[in-house]
Amino acid sequence: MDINRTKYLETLDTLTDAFGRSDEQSIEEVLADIRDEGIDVDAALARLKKAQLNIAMEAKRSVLDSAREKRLKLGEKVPEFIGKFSDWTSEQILARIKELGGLEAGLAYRDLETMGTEEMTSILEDLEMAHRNAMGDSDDGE
Amino acid sequence: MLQNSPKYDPTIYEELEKADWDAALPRVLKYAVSRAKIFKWLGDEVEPEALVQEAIVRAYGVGTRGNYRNWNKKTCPDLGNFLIGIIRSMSSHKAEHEANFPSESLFSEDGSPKDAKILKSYDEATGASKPKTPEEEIIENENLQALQDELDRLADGTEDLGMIILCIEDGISEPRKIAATTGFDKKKVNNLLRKLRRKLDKYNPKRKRQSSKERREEWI
Repeated sequence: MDINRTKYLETLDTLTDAFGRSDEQSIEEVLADIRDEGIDVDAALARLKKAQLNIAMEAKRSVLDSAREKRLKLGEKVPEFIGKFSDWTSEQILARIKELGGLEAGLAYRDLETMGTEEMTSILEDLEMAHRNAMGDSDDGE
Repeated sequence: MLQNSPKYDPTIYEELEKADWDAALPRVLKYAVSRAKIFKWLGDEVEPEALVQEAIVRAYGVGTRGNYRNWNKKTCPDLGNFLIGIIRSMSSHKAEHEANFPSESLFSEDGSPKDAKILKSYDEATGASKPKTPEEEIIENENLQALQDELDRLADGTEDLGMIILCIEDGISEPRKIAATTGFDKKKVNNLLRKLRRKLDKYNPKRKRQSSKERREEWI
């Protein structure tokens, strides 16, 4: 079949973009439009909210894991902060963990405050590494 | 474990934490429901929630095949618009959509991962995309022609709908701009768009023998 496929696909793009727009709609109108499509909007939104929390937690964990891998790969080139925290009290370590991304660590390690100093030190080193990576490697764009 | 793209800026997490997800998600879901129709009308199937989830994982820097989006709050202050922009670009006809994201939700009814293995390996799994067969190309083209014929029929049938369809065919999608072009008020434009959507929902596209997901599973 010989059709103007590109033109038809552009129309399909514009059509679905127009149907999906809600720029000047109230939240009630938006929810009504979703319901009108036969979707149980409350259940769908609850699933998405939980999925978002899971994704956030997993993503933050992956940053720490990457930092840990990088730290382990460094081998002899140990950054100056490694070992620096061994004399710190658990309160000092906890305070620095929270300063560097308490939310991330708090979400990923819910029982942070019940951990031993050694384990907390290890997490802090990973966070320091992640923090330095972010400062040094951050980029914009896709 | 999801994998962060090395170019993703994890300091964005803080902005994502502070953002109003409850306000953003309904608008994003509405957009995803509409964009999922692209796949349906081409004879395929993609769950709207899968589109939203993929937008979220990209916003967190852990999208399928290393895809990520760094949220620049200065240029796009609204989280909903940011996520909608991600869905728009990944479902655009210019994108290789079926290779880029899972077509079904990765999470169960309660929001937990359906399968730990999926989160671990869906990047690799969805990376392999089987090319379309000639038969699938034909079905897509037939569906596109049938949809275009339906739009032409509706445009000929009602003058008001016809003007909306003309705007769409001219690439105008924002209700505000459609209102300016047609002279209708925005409420009338929204009502006509709703009417058009309901009429097109009755259109039954020819289904491909296999969905993208089934093709991928066979291909891997």
